[in-house]
Amino acid sequence: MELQNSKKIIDQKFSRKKILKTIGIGSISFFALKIFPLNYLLTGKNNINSSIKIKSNPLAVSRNKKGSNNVAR
Amino acid sequence: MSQDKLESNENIKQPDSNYWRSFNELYNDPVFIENSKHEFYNGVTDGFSPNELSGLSRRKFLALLGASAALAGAGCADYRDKGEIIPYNQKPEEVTLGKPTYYASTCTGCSLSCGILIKTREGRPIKIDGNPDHPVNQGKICAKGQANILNLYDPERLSTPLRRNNLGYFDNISWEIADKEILNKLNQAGDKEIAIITNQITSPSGLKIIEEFKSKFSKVNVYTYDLFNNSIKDSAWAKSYGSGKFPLIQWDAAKVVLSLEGDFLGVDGNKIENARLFSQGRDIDAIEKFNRLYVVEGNMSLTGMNADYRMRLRPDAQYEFVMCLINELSKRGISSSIITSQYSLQDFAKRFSLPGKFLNHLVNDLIANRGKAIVYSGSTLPENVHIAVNYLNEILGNTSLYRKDSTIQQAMDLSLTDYLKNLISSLDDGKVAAVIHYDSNPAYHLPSDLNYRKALSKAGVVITLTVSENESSAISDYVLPIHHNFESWGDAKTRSGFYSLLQPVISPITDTRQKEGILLSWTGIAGSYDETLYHKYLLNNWEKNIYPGLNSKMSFQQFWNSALHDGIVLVDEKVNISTEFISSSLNELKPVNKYSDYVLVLKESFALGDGRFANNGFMQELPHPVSKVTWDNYAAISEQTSKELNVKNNDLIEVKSGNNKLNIPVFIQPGCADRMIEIELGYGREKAGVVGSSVGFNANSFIKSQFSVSPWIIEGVSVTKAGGTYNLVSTQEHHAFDIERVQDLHKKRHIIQEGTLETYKKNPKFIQDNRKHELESVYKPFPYDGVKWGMAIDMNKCIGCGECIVACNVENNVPIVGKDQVEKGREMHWLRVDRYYSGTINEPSVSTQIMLCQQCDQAPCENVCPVVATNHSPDGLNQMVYNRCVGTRYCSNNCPYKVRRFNYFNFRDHFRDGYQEQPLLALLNNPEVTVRSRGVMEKCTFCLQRISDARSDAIRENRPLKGSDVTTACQDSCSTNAIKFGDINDLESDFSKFRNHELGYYVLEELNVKPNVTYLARLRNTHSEEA
Repeated sequence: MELQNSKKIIDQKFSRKKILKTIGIGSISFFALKIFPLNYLLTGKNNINSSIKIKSNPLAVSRNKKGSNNVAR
Repeated sequence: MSQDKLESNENIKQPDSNYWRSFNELYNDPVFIENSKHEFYNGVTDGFSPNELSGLSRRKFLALLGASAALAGAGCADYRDKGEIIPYNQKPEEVTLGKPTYYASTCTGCSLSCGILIKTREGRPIKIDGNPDHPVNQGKICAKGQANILNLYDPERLSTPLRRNNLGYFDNISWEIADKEILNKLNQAGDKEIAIITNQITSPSGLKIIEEFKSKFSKVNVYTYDLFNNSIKDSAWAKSYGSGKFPLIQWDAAKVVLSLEGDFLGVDGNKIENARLFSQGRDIDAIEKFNRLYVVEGNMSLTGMNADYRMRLRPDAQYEFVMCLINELSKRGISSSIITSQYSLQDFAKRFSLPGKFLNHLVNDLIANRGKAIVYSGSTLPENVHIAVNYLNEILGNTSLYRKDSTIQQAMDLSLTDYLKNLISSLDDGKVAAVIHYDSNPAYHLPSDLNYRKALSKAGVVITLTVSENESSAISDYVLPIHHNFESWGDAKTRSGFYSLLQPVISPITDTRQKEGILLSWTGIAGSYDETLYHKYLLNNWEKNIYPGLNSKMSFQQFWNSALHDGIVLVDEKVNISTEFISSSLNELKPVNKYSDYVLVLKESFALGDGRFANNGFMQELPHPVSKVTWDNYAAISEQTSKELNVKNNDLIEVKSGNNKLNIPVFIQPGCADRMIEIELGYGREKAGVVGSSVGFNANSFIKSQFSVSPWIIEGVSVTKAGGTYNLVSTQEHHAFDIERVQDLHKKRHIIQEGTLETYKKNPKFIQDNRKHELESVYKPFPYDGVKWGMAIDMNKCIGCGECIVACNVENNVPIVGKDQVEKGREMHWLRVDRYYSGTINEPSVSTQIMLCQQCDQAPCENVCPVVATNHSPDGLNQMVYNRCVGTRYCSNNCPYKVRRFNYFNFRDHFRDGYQEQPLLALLNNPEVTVRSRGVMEKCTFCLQRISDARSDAIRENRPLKGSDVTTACQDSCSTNAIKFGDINDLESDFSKFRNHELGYYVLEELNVKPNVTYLARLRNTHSEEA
């Protein structure tokens, strides 16, 4: 009786179909996110590799150290 | 009046030593008391109700958790793709990867043109500090100068030329089209005027270009203005002494300073230089040279906060006050002036309920320190006050404190009001072919009665050269984007004795041009525009006109390179300051009229200047040094005035003057004079970008070209309660302690410890006598054998300006959170300046205290972290491991100093819809410091990145690391050198002297957390009977 009840409970709680469905959707989503256009939508916003180019001015004269200590003693 | 003491007019209780931060705290407001019992403010946890949790089962929750974990793991593969890093093929000689390179330049945030040192990493500017070689600011720069780096990376900077179309919108056009069309219009001007409107011109080469432009086109007029300027003061000086401008003052040599509505430590003059020199008279190691500061002002200012004696007096009464002082001195035989015989200091004191004791001390001190004192009048005061003050200094012999080695120089004088009026009438008559706004914003700044915007519509063409959009560009026909300061070549001359140079540390980020180069290209004398056009002109000007006069032994190229390296060029220049007082100037001193009911005072904003920093989030979020209000301006009034108007904080009042009126929220300011309203300008801008637009209230309309007192002091205003409220956000009640409100609370807890100079002289150990604590601990003390980092903050020198806060924000990538988050107590500043009042509401004494992570040896935050995300280093630092932190916030709960900051959001995403996530703004971040994301705790690290850098240098050079090898960002920025940092274990060092000083104490020492920040108690230089 107990075994029958347990089987019933297990059947109710664990549906093989549901498990496989979840894994299937998960796998498809996993691969879908890797391909265009979804990968662009997710990473494009955080992509800071934009058209801004930084270039120092070659005519400016630098110094390696600050000079005399900024903080007076 | 006899030499006996003036009758005391005090009808107030004697100041007690109870410290309070706001009226809510002083009056034990139940809401305040309730809030202080909670870690977080009301509304922070709104929306959370356990009963409304979803009915999700545990099984389903685990299933979803597993699926989302799998997806999250999949998503991690492309997390934060920052692009490729490619090493140099040919590394520039001056660049060492991972080490910063510094460039000397000049700040153009205001007309003071301070020398700066720009720190760059791999070609990217990341931090601004003062140039140590600059004679004026000597290695320091103000808060606005620090924050100017954000303006370089402002995502809303204009990037292409714009032309207004028929529908009133702007189209992007190319530079070629812009040049062609504008040049066409300029050439068609004929005998009509071309007006150039600019701020103060400080560049000699820039002025020369304008002269070239004038010679090319037949009728060019140049109009210069500054919203706040010294024109009235200079005019008074010229009348008093015949010629010249108001001289610089030897603040370091003054034993007594009387400041009349003069915020010389805040916004008046060169604040950096003034603060440095003044603080040299507050040296605890030279107490015989301690100065004494008297401040007489209408509203509490930064200077007033640091006064030994402060008295509130409405600014329109300052003239009568000075005349009464002169009369009092003449009665005591100091002068024989009859011009002031009708003035009586005693009657004046009675009428204005002034404290007799204060006036007695003041007069006695001025007499006793003749020749060693200075009376300083603020720039906003009218001319008659300045003439009277010049006379007062003359009779006291204080003119010896005017500097004779250096004077202020200007390339071009500011335009007189009449000259500006001529422009308006020419515009109205249709006689102006073109108006060029030359990096200026006259539509926002010029006096409202000139009706500039209306007149501008009649100009042939309006061209604005600007870095970002503003009110003037919005009504222009062409808007041309120009280089930021750090992308520009240039020179500056603001003082005698040296020139200052600008050099670009970065090539133009977008398609902007140098403004001088644009004008030069329109003259056609040097060809069409290219990036080197102005550089060649500058070189040529220096080689032909300036270099020969320097008698340098170097070739010009060598000289130029070394000049750029240093940032300044010293020159021999004789300074002539007239010292002969012209008695006929006293004829300007007429009897005073009756005072109006209310007086309105307009003041320069400490944070925004004249409004040009409105779009700078660092400055908007910097708490006001006095009121601690962020993100808004307000009408400061006294408590008495608030009762008369029946208003409280945040209530709206209507301020009306003539046809201009403004509804503005009230802030009740302790120490404000009655019937006086003070409003800071620079707010309420319409076109200042996403951050700055519609922030605060625009009071510029009250500035008039015709005035009875001065442009910034308006009499005869009417003030009424407008109804409604506006939420002002102030940080002054944040981090209040959850303890019973008792008298002498902060004194009992020894958070603020102060004394007087006399007390210190009698008993130098009076602070140490308070430090007898029974300190027991369950922990064995850790032997810090090597370097142990510590900080000492000299509260005698700290003026509470908050420059350290901005420097720390820039150095450590502290995010801007916005007004709504500051309201919830979530401002992210690692460093704060707590401001306490003591004494009475009308004449409070102000104490400030910088509070930051104390790096406690027995830190209560370290023990409670469940994941050991915060721990202690062998060199005494309390460390944060951001990627371990899971955000329980237990550490913040346990911190007695409330210095930990939690990232409730990824503020870079949260603030203004991802404003801080924009690619350009990301360049602002210091690569040496982690950028924190949501859910982690952060706090002051004692600039660990600088410590690590110094350590690696020491290892590479095979020498021991010394405490003096490291300076923190806050220490570097402090113009008074109040912050000292170094090795506690090095007893021979200068730092050790402060760490072990007899005035040193620790905050909340009785908790036995062993903090490593020593505070040196403030000494007030009051008279001995008050010690």
